[in-house]
Amino acid sequence: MNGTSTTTPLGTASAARSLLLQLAAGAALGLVVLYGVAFAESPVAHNAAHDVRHVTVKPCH
Amino acid sequence: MIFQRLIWVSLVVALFVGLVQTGVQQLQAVPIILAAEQFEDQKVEAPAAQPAHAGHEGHAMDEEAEEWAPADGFERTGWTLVANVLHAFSMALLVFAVMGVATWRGTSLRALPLALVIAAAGWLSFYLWPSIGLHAEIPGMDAARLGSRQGWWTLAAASAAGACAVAAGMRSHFRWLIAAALLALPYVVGAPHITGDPLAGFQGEAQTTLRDLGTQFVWATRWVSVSFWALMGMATGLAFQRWLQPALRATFGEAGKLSQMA
Repeated sequence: MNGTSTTTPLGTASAARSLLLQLAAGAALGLVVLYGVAFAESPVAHNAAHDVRHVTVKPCH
Repeated sequence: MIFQRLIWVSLVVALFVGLVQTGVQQLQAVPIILAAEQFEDQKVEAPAAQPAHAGHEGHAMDEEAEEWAPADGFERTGWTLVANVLHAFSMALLVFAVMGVATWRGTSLRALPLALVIAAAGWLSFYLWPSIGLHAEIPGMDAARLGSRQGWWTLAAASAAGACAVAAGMRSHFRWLIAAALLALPYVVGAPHITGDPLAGFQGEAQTTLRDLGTQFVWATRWVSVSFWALMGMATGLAFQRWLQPALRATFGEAGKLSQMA
């Protein structure tokens, strides 16, 4: 990833692209964590997050 | 790297929101779950209950005894706190990503109002739209197959989020039409429901009490969701302004000018 931002137009454009990619990576991580908390079928995950699944109105059981 | 900072700031927001939410839930929603669980052993499995549905999804008692579950009380509340923090973490990451894109597109809103607008969209997408089709459930209720409900929930949430994105981001006059079509999509498909009474496995007083608890639970979860998203909007707005906006503006600000010149 291009960590150095230069003042040339090309540099700022690629820095912006890099930033957008990092935001997208954050959003993707968010969706994975949401899946784990709300939907994962593992009984351990289900039992640990049981009350939160009910309270946040996710399909449970 | 903004990514690392994004993770840390989301974690700070999540700890705060998760902690407050656990408190809010203990006040009204969790007592209803615990009360409903008192009746679970009175449930008579209806003959119509599909055998394929047994096992974990069927909430079979013998299976449940084998699986680890947190002990009631401190341990259970502790895991609820962990789950609440993780849930808030996932939502904070999504809110920050949307705020970042809005900054890139040169939004005129300041951080806090922007975060509150996005939180309202989050409430619509992750609470209201799925829960109109699939109501909040207390333990013990029968429902359609878990997988199909999870699939429909995902469709409803994604459609509502897509509708918000189209309404906010598209320039075309057709955007309202497209947003309305997206909102209608999950209801055209239809939420999966069983044909009978979800509380058919209970009789007499147990059924009456559970029906009451079910109604109370719908209201309790409604307030939980409103408080969650209001808090999430405020926390992400303030955190974004302080820790993320300067870095994003430094990069997107120039890129934005660049795209205006082109």
